[in-house]
Amino acid sequence: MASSGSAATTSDVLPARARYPAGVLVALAGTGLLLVAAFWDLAIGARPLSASQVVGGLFGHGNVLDVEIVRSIRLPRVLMAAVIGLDLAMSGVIMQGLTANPLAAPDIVGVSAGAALVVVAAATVFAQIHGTALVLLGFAGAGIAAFGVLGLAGVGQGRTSPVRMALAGVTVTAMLLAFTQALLLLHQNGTAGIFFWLVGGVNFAQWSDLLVILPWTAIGAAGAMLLAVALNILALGDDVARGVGLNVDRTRLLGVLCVVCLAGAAVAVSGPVAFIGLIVPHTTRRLVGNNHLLVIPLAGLLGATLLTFADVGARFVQFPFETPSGIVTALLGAPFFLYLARRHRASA
Amino acid sequence: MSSLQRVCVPRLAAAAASVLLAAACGGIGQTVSPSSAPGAAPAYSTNPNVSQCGKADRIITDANNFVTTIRGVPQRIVTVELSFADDVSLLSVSPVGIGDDNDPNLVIPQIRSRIGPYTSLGTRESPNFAVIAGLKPDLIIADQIGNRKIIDQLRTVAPTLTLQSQHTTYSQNIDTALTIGVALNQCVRMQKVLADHDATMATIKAKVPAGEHRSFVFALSSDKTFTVFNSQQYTGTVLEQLGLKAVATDPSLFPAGDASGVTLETLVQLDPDLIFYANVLDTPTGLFDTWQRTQLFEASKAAKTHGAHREGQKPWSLTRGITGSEVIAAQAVHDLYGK
Amino acid sequence: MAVLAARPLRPWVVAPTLPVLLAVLGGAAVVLSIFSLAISGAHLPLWPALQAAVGADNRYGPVIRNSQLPRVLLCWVVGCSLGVAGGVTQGVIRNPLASPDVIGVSKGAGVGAALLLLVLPTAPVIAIPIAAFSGGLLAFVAVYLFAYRQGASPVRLALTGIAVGAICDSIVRFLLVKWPIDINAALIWLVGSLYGRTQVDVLEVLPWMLVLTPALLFFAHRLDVLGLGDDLAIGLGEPVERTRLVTLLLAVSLASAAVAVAGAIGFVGLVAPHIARRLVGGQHLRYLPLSALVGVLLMLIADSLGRGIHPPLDVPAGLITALIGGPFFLYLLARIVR
Repeated sequence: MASSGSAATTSDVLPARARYPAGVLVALAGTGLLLVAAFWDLAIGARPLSASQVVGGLFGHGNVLDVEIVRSIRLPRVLMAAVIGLDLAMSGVIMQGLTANPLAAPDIVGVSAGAALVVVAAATVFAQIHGTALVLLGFAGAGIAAFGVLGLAGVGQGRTSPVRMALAGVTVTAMLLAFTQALLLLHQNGTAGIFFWLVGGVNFAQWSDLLVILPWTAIGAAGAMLLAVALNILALGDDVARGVGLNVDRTRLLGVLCVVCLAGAAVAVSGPVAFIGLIVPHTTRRLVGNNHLLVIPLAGLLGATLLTFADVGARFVQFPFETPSGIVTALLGAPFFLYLARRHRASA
Repeated sequence: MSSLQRVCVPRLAAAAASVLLAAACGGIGQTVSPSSAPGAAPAYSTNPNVSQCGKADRIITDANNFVTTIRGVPQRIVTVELSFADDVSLLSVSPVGIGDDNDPNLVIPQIRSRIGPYTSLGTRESPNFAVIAGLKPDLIIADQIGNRKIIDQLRTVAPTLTLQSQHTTYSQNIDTALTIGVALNQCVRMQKVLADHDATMATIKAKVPAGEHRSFVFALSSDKTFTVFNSQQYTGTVLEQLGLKAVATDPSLFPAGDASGVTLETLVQLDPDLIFYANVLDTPTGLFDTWQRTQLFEASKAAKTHGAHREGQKPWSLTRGITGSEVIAAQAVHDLYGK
Repeated sequence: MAVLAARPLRPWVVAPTLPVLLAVLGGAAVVLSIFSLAISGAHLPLWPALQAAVGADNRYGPVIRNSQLPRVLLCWVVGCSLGVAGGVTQGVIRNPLASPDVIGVSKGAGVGAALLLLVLPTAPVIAIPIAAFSGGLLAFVAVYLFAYRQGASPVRLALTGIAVGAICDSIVRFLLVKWPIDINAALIWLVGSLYGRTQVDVLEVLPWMLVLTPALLFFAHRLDVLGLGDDLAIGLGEPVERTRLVTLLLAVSLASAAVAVAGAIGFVGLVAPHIARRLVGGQHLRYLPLSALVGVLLMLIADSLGRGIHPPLDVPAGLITALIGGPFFLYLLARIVR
């Protein structure tokens, strides 16, 4: 328990440290919290609806307009919060597993920034690209950034130091951010909605957006679960993993593809919502140990819960007008990052 | 290097210079007939600059309360914002340089037709100083907020007025036009322009049936967001001239900017009679276009009365200015009553 | 991680000595500065521009005096400051990937600038550098305090710096969302640009450079000792913790001053020391002056390109340093891994 957060040492990530009873508890509590958050999120909106009206609306009873509001505006938003939270949390788990690095997360390694740059370019320079085409572009940006940073930080050539990866990620993120900001500056009249998106949020989610992202979430999540055992073995170190017959390079490649699929799609649809991929995996590991078979699905659940709560929080900033939900996770997550950095006791 | 020094020295210098000049020049150089006396425009007398009308050296207080002396009749004028180009060109002066975001199409045709060849200054946000200086202007008109970081530089080249454009209302814009008239030493002409403008607006308004008081919002729709402008924003205040009522009349609900994100639910809850919207970059479709096909929107007042009107981003959201307001008003009347 | 060690050039290249390199790079910077004077969005012939720069009063005088010359001078001051501050930061953190931006300085300065640009849009422009400078220093103080645990180990400094930087980023985002009145100004500041800078800005930052650069060079030898690792340095009688704090504080002040007037220009403080070390090795007294010159060259190239690449648009210098520095950084990273 002492240092489950810093997976830098082998003993930390032994697959034996799975705590199934804790897992069950976390699953139950997480589900409960998710339901609370989801219902709370469903109940807030410009149109005052009572709890019974919300429930009725979900099942199609009551005033036609109330039903419509609950079903076609609030429900997709809540579901999107859950899906994006799940995507980002799972991609964080995989990334930390692949790199044996506690600071690996899509936003720190530059994956989010890569996807964001491509999407901003699509919106300002080319104007009319949306839906799946935008997601595919997001994959391109996320993929290039992910392979770039991970490759360059030395993943696959022995363990990378968390410091080096964090520094590499921060620097690449800074570069991508400079490009993004320059695009915004040079296309000022096309940026009206972009900035909102750039902070990240699910405020304007529609069913059509969910349809765009769900297949990629399904593929990514399934891939993550299939990789869980391999990630457990990888946690023993590359040499041991090779010794027991794991194709280490293929595992890494598939893992990064999963990350790109999950995080790239999430960013393309909802913007670079910050820090979920960092906060949730750590919290989950602290609660249930390091067995990826347990960590991956539970992190997904807790990620969904966190972003849904964040969306609830964002509603209170300037109700009834919209504040991007990413603001809440950014303000929550940054101190958590600081806490993680402080815990780091290695002398790389 | 203190702020005190930086702000006060030019002001003192300007005041001193104007006193000296006034003493030196006396009444020579009066280019405008006595009929342009300040009293000629009681309607606009709240603008303190009007007292400078007709003087050869006019001491003008701008939106930043900075005092600038403008001598004679400026001929080479640089306007960093489109609304200033609009107002200046109404006095038959064609700006030599315009901040048009390096895109001549940003200047709407109604204004473009009055303007000769001009040099683009680059973005309105960061107009190119070397280009401005190279134009040898004798007057620069810049935005109070957007251009504040370059104002000290601009003042080294030519008298510079910082006036309101990016964050302004219809009536403030009239006031700004008046100041521009004083700056160009064309008070009479500007009052004529404003009288013509009042007549134009009256003609447009005459097409509005009596008792028109429907509520409206003006919004920008992009692929990803829908932002509603508050009632203090320029376009809204123009539409209020027609008797329409801006729905979001509580600016305290808005953050410090002009606009705020609004979901379909909130929009339907605000339930304006009319929705004027522009798609960002005038793309064929935006978020609101997809909303219009929903059952929820169809139940709203705007949908039932066919009150949603798509407008161009340039005239409705980027131009402002006297002509800009006429274009908005005329287009609104055309959309609402087919006239 | 002995990455700061000298990297010898290929054997068949005769290693130029330090004075030669200083002369060559310095000469290049001077020549570039002269040409840079004449690069602007408008027609600006070189010879009259030069005359105006040395005080002749011709028709190009106002542009040269109020924009071109201050910008070229700022390239020197900012480039030198960032080059030296970056070199010292990398030396103290003992990591070639560190730079003032990494330990939170630019981000902290960004919070200060954004507060003023967004929340108090009518505040005098002169207050922005002051707010930015304070923000940068405050961020560093926070980093140091959070990283301190029986001493502030370099690794913890780096990680805490990134984390505090992330906090600052979040605050800036919040400010941009809550007070979106002049987003463009804030964005330009966050990218970093010399647009609109005048002699006032030069005078604001120059004293910092003139005082802090020699001060840091004075510490050069002790930085070398620090580079040997804490244990060895302590064995050699070096008050490691104190030297680390003092040199970092000086470097951070230098970087904050530069960032305060130029905005959060990235990559100069990261890349310049690398180039310098590759040329003359890892001894601080040798490579810091060279790093300053490389920083100057980078700034000159970035700002000249920014003015000349697509007039009348003024492309922010920070974008171009990112365009040049980013790929170079990736190349470095690839080499370090090998």
